[in-house]
Amino acid sequence: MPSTITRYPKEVILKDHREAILRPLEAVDREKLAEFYRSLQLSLRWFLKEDPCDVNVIKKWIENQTEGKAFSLIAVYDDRIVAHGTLLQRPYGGRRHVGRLRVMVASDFRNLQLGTWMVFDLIRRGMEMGLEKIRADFVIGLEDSAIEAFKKIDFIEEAVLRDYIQDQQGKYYDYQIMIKQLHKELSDF
Amino acid sequence: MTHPDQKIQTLFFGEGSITIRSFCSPDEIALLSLKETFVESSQYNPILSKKESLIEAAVQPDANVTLAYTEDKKVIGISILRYPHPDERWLKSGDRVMMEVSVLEVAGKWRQKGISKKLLWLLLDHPLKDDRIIYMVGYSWTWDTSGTGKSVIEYRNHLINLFSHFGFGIYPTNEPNVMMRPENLFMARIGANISESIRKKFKLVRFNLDE
Repeated sequence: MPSTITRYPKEVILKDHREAILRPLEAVDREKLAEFYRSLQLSLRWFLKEDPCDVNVIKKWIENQTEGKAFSLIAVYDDRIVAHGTLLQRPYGGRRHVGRLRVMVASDFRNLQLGTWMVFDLIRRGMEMGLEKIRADFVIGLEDSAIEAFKKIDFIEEAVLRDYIQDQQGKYYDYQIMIKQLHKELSDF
Repeated sequence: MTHPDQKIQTLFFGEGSITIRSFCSPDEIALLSLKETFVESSQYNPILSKKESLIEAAVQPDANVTLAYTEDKKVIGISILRYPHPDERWLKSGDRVMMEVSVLEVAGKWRQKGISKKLLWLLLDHPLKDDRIIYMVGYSWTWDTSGTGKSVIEYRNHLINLFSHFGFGIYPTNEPNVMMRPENLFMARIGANISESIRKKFKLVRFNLDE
């Protein structure tokens, strides 16, 4: 993975004047990241592909970061992790040009632009990595506000997988796949 | 009349010498020409192509118009440091606190010769440099990516390296034009004499918040 020219830590001020620090995930953050995910509602965690409260899962995420398979960014407020975002890149095969993005924000830090800052940094990182597309997936009916926010930053609703996701009670949800094209150059018109 | 802080540097190239002059006065600008070097083309439009715009900038208070030009008086490099437009949010940091590097451009065939660094050197050699927050915004739609052969992210990195050399740092801001594209850029250098209260204002202004 190429070295990033985006300097960290980065301080952002949220709409309520609180200051959060953005920086890459490090090995020392393992327990605090597990705490962050434990603090989220189970209904939000449920749709992730792995159990984020399991420290071994987080250990693997940190290894992915060290090995250059992923770029994980955290937001820290008052020594507490309040958001976590990841851009995953496949090192091999026909999907190497596509990154997968996921951002989770603590409930008391939502609608304050923190998620936007995280997503922007991850998109920029994707550009530095030479990615051509970034994919982000959402559960329709549960993450509609995120879908709207991603539309505003040029993610396109590319496909919907019907009844693809099931909640803890067995109820089915549609799954929205969104794609953002990353352009190396600007077009003239 | 020559500005008391004006500096002149001469660079020698195979094609002839280049003069870089800071604090150019309207009279000095009037003797120069942009006609052949800063022209619009199908590939790229320079940010500034009229001499009148340079003269207008030069008469602004505390402004520094630093130009690079050939022996036959053709302008091949333009840089301007001035106060932002009154409509811009940066004025909330205080009256005459922030100054913008509003233009930094070198004409096509003179690029890759280190001229932009020399221009910046004289542009930022300003008597008020320790008393101001000097900033730049980089909008990718103004970058000559086709002329330089750089991708937008490479162009961004080039700007970061150039301005970092002069003590600028990247600062996050939710200024809508900067937020419009992820590769856009806001960098600033906070003068040594800037007080803690103004630093705090600058921080809030970057996020469009009031105290």
